[in-house]
Amino acid sequence: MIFCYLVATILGGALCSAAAYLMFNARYVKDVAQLQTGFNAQLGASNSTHERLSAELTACALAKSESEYENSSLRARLDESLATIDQFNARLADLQNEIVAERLSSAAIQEKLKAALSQQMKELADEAARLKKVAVTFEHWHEEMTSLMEQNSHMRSKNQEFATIVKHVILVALNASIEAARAGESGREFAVVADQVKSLAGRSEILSTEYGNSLHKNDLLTTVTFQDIQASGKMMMAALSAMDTKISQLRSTLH
Amino acid sequence: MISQQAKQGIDYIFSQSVRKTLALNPDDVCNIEMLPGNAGHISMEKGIVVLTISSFLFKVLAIFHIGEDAETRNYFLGKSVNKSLIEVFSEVGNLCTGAMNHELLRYFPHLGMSTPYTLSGRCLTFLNELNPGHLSRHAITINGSARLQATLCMCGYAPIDFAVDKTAAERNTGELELF
Repeated sequence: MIFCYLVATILGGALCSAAAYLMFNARYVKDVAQLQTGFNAQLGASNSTHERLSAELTACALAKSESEYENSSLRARLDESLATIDQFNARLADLQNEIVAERLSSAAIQEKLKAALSQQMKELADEAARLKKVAVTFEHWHEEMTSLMEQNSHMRSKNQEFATIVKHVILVALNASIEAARAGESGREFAVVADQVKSLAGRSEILSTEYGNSLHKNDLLTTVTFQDIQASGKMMMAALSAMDTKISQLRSTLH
Repeated sequence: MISQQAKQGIDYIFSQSVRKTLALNPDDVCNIEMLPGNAGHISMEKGIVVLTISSFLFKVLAIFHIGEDAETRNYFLGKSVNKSLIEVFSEVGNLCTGAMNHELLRYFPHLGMSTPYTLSGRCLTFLNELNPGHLSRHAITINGSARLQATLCMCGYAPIDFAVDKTAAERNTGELELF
């Protein structure tokens, strides 16, 4: 019994195990099939993704390659630019140095020019001051002119006296002629002398008049000449003063 | 040598200067008119006052003929006994020529003026000896009673031409430069 029980148990166990196995196997196959289908589907999707990624990767690689090329090109240009900037900076530094040197030199030149100009201005001002002393010369001329005019006046006075004498001589000659006529034949020779005296007095009167006119003409010409010199002198003095003022202004500007 | 415009200009400036300076009082009326060349002088025996304005280009003589009539003496001398008529005329002539010089400086930057000098009226006969380029005579009357004459004699050394700015000349009436 026990044995039968055992056998039955074993058989029953075996049957159960077989049934379980069959059931498990069927379930397993089904699951495997399902997994296979899923796997296949996922594999397909994965393949598709892989292809897409590959394409993208290829594109990326291409882009990367292009980018690298671009990058290297930019770097080369950047290097060139940097080199140019370095050169420029070097040139700028040189120029700055030159400017500083030039400025120093220019300041020195300016200083020299200023000194030379100041000296010339001073000489010019001194010369103008010396020229102004020409006024003294005009004063001398004025004195000489006054003396000349006094002399003319004296000569006019003397000529006036001479003219009076001549008029008197004419009267005397006229009287002599009248007296000679009264004397008749005996006075004929005296009449000739009286006529001669009258003629001489007449000529003297003409000369006296001409001489008087010459003195008036001389007065006018002397006066006008002197006044012209005097006025021209004042004109020069005014011009010199104006020049002096300009020089002073220039000198103060320089300093 | 001296253009017609310049001749008229110098006469105009002289007339303006006479009006500005010869009248002693502001209310006095001073008339000046041109005389023909053959008009008689006030008196050849009286004195004349001569002044000269000089430049590089010309000289101008302003000559004042002194009338010694009672009205003229009264006007210029008044009650003054310290001065002679010729002295007063020298001062008045100096002022008048100074005003003229001042106005001419607008057109000629370098000018100088002489001091006055007195000569005999007979010297006027010889003005042509100076070879003037322009000669004009003027009769001046103040308040219708005081009378005098003036002669302008301009001698040029180069062509002279300028146009007077009459507005500026009239604007300056009253501005006197004392010398």
